[in-house]
Amino acid sequence: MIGTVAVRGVDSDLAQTLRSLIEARAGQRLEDAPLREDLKRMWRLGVLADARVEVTGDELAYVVTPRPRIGRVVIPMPDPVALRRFALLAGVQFDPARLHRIASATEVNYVRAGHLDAHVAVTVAPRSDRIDICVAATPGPRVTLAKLELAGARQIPDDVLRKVMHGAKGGVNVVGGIYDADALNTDRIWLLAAYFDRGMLLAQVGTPIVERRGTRLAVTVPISEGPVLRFGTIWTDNMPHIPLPISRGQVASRVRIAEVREALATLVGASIDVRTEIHPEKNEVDVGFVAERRWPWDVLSSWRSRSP
Amino acid sequence: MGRALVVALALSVTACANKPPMFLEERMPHACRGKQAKAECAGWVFDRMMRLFLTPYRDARIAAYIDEVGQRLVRASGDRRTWTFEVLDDPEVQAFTGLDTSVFIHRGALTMLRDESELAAVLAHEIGHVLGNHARENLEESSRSVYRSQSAAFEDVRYARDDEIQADELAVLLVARAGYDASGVSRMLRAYAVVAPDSGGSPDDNHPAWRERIARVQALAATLPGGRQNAAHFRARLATLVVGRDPLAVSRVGEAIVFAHAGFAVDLPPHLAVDVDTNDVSVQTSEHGGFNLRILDARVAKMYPKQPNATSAAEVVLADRVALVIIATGPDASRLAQQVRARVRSPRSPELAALRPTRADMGAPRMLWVP
Repeated sequence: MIGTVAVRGVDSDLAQTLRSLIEARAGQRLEDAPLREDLKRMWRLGVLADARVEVTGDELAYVVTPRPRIGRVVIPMPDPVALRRFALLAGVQFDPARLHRIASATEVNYVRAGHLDAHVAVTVAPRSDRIDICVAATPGPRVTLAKLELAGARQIPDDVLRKVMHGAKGGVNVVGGIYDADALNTDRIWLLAAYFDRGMLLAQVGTPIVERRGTRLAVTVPISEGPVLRFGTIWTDNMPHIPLPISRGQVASRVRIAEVREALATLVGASIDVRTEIHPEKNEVDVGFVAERRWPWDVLSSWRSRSP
Repeated sequence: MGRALVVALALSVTACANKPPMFLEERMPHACRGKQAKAECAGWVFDRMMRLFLTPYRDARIAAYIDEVGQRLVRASGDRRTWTFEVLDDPEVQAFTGLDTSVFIHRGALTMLRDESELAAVLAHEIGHVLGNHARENLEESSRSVYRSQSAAFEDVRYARDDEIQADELAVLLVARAGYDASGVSRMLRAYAVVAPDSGGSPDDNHPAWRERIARVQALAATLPGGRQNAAHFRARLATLVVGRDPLAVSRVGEAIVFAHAGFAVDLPPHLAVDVDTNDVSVQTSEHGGFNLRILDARVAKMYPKQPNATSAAEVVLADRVALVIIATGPDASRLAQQVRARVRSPRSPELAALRPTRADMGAPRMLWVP
C-alpha cells in the first residue's frame, strides 16, 4: 500500500508542477498505481533527463533529474537570420527533440526560400556540467523555376488557370521564382475546382513532374480535362416538390450544384446531401438533393425553434 | 499589411540622399537608404504604421516606468538597436511585438502582475520573440501568398509552439541577467493562465500547454541565482493604473458623448440607441442609418476620404495629435455627418468631474494557475 508520494531531485516549484501530473495516490496498492503513465506524462514536459520510481517502505518516490543546460553553441558558418534561433539556445535546457525540430524548421525556411538542397545538422558534445552543440547548416544553391507547364490544358486558357494558382505575388511557382512543391500540390485542388466549375467533372490534375538541371527546374503539371458533362436526371428526396434553377442538358457546374444546395438548405431548413452518378458514355451526371430531415414534421419543428 | 506593400511604401519615401529620409516625422534607419530596402526597413516602417492605429495609454508616469524596465532588459540582452516599449489603452490582457523593435503591452495585462520581476518577465518574453526573429519569419511566409497542405500547416504550428518556448526561455535568462528574480516568469505565466485557459490541445493552437511552459521555465529558473522582485516599488509606480474600461477614453454623460482624454464631446439628439464600446461609439438614428464616432491618430484621420463608399460619409475634426472621426451611414449620410460635426465641442467641467476611473489595486490577492 502506498503511504506517501514524493517527487525528488528538483526544486519545490517544479516538484509541485510534476506532482500535478501524478495519478498514483496514497492508499493505492502499488501494483495498481499508474507508474508508467505518470512517468510518461512527466517525460512529455520536456524538462527531464531521467525519471524513475523508487519505493522505500511505504513511500513511493519519483526521482527525477532535470536536463542539463546547453553551454556553447558553435555555428561555423552563421546565417544571421536562419540560425538565430540556435545562437539563442546558449544557457537553456538541452532538449534533443526540440533541437531536432528547430533544425527541421530551419531547413523548411531554407527550402521555402528556394534552397532545395538545404541541410541542417546538429552535433552534441556532452561536458561534465553542460552540453555544447555545433550547428552545421548547408543551404546549398538557390534553385529557380525555368519552366512551369500545365500540360494537357486546352479547354481552359493557360492564363485563366494560372490565375487560380497562388504564389505569383510572392514569386512562388512562377517562372524565375521559387519552386514550392507543397504549395503547388495544394494548388492542384484549385485547378481541379476550375475544371469542375465548368462541368468537366472527370478532370484530373496529376502529380507535378519535376526535372532539374543544376539550379534550374522544369515542372510539368499533367492535366487530363475530360469532356464537359451535362445534367441528366435531377431529383430530390425528403422535401416537397420545389422548382430548381437547373435542368437537364445544362452544363453540370460545381458552382451551380453548390448554389442549389445552399438555396434548398435555407428553404427546407435542413442540411442537404448531394448525390451524383456520372454516366461517362453519355457525358451526363445525375444529381440528387436529399434533405436529411423528414418533411414536414422536423422542418416545422426547426421553424418553430427559430421563431422569436 | 503585406511585406511587399510595406517595402513599397518604404521605397516610395526613400530618396537618393546621404541622410535617410523622414517617415511620419521620424528619421528612417540606414537600412531604408537607397533602392535595396532591407527587411529591417520593412519592419521599421511596419511598426510605425501599426502604431498609428493603436491607442496609447495616457499616463506618462506609467509609460516611463514600463520603458525603464524594458530598456534595462535590452541592455541585459546586449542588443544594440533602439527599442520602444509602449502601454496601450486596452483593458484586455495582451502583449505583443511589431516586426522591428517595438513592444506593446495592454494596461489590462499590467493589472495581472504583482511585482517588477513579473513585469520584466512579460517584456522579456516579447523581446525574446524579436531576438528570435519569429514575427519576421511569419511575415515572410505570409508574403509568399500560398496555401499549405494540412501536414505542412500542422508542422508550422509545431514550430510556432517552439517559438513560444524559446521566448519563455529567453525571458528567464534576460530577467535573471537584468538582476530580477527569474521565478517571476513562472508567476507571470501562472497569472495569465487563469484568464487564458488551454485550448484543450487544439491542433491550431500555436501555444504549448500552460503546464509544459511553466515546467520549462521553472526548471531553467532553478539553475539561476536569485534576484529582486521590487514589489513595493512596482505598486508605487503603478498606483494610478486604471482597471477595466476607462471612462475618460469615452463615456456617455447625459445626452453627450465625452472623449475626455482626446478633448472632444458630442451632443446627441435625444432618444437614440447608443452603444458605447471601449474606444468608439455607435449611434442609430433611423432604421437604415446612423453614425460611428472614434478617436484616431490625426495622421490616419487625415487620410479618411469624405465619402468612403456610396452609402457612407466621413467628417474629421482635428485637434493636436488626435482627431475625432465621424462616419455616417445611410441614405443621407453626408448631411448626417455634417450635422453631427456641428454638435462637436469641448468637454465641460461637470462632465469631466463625473468621470471617475477605477484604479487597480496592485497589491490585491490574485488567482494563480495551480498545477
